[in-house]
Amino acid sequence: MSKVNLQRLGETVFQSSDRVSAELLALTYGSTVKQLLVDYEEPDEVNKQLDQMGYNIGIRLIEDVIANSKIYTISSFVDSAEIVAKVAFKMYLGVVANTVDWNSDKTEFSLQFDDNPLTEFTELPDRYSDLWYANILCGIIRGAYEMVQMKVECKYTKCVLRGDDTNEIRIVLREMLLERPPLDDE
Amino acid sequence: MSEKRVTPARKEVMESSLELLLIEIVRWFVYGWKNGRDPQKTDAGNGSADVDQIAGSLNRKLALTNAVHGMGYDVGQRLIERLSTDHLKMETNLEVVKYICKDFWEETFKKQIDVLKTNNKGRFVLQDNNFRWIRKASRNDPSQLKVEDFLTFPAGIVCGAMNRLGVDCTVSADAASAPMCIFTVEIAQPPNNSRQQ
Repeated sequence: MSKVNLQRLGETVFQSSDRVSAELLALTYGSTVKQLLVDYEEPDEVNKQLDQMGYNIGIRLIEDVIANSKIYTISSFVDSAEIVAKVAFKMYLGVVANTVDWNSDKTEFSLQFDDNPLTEFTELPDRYSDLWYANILCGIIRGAYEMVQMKVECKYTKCVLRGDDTNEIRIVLREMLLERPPLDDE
Repeated sequence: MSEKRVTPARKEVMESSLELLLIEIVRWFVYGWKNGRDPQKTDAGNGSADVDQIAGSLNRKLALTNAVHGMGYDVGQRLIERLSTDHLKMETNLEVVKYICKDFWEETFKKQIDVLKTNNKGRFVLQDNNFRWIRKASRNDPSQLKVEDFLTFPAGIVCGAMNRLGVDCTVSADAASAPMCIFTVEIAQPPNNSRQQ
């Protein structure tokens, strides 16, 4: 599907879905980050926990993506990138992302998005300057990719809360997992 | 009065996003499943102090539940700061409760409370016949997660919102007849009863 068609699909799914105010999601997410900072204190550790939390969500979210978008096959990593940017981001966050900075092998790209509903109403105090506030997104993307047999690494590289001009997540394809039957099916 | 309804720049996200996050909040903070595992099974001791262990895990669950209530409380306070600015000052507890049941419920939970009852002594029972925040919860992992655990966070939200409107109260919730949920608000009675009912 072309980029334009995917964008249209994302928009259609978004418009036809039940929606809530972005504020409610932002505040709920904010309370989550705040509690993790209480529990773990170190921003680096909180980054890890947010990633893990996101992973737990990502592995369940993929069913939802497929059910809503009716995209049943993903032919390549390049295609998948556009689906994440134009369909999944639009569906879940109401914003569209762009895929930029592909490497020559087409195994790495950056996901860029100016608006991030998760960071709305948020300012990072100086002592949390090492925190990647919306790091849950990295875990979600990683978990969702794993469910379609692609092992990826995701890393936040720019965040407007840190004074960057945009938000950016680097996604690197590490391995295409082969579908094989589970080893122990009881 | 109704200006907020036509605010053009209201940003929205898919409801699923919130639902998925709420489920993870319950799994993570109420159950302490950090890596998809039940921690009570992984950190079992030497087996010699069963009673202590059970008491310990109950205390732990209580502490975790309190943390989630606190998270909701925080959200409730901040929501009310954004929602009630264009509202008239509410003089009585009943006015506050009515505002919570109508405008606040609609903004937050996308419908109004269906039945409101009170004993006129500071207890208000708010009945939502189809509470949206447990829809996904009751479909996902029904055997592992208890529906009532999904009410800790929203009960915290209601408590935080009421408190921000000047009403000191506790809020508990019950999902015995899910998807119908009941939130019970107990308003603290000051000795001099300065607020009228």
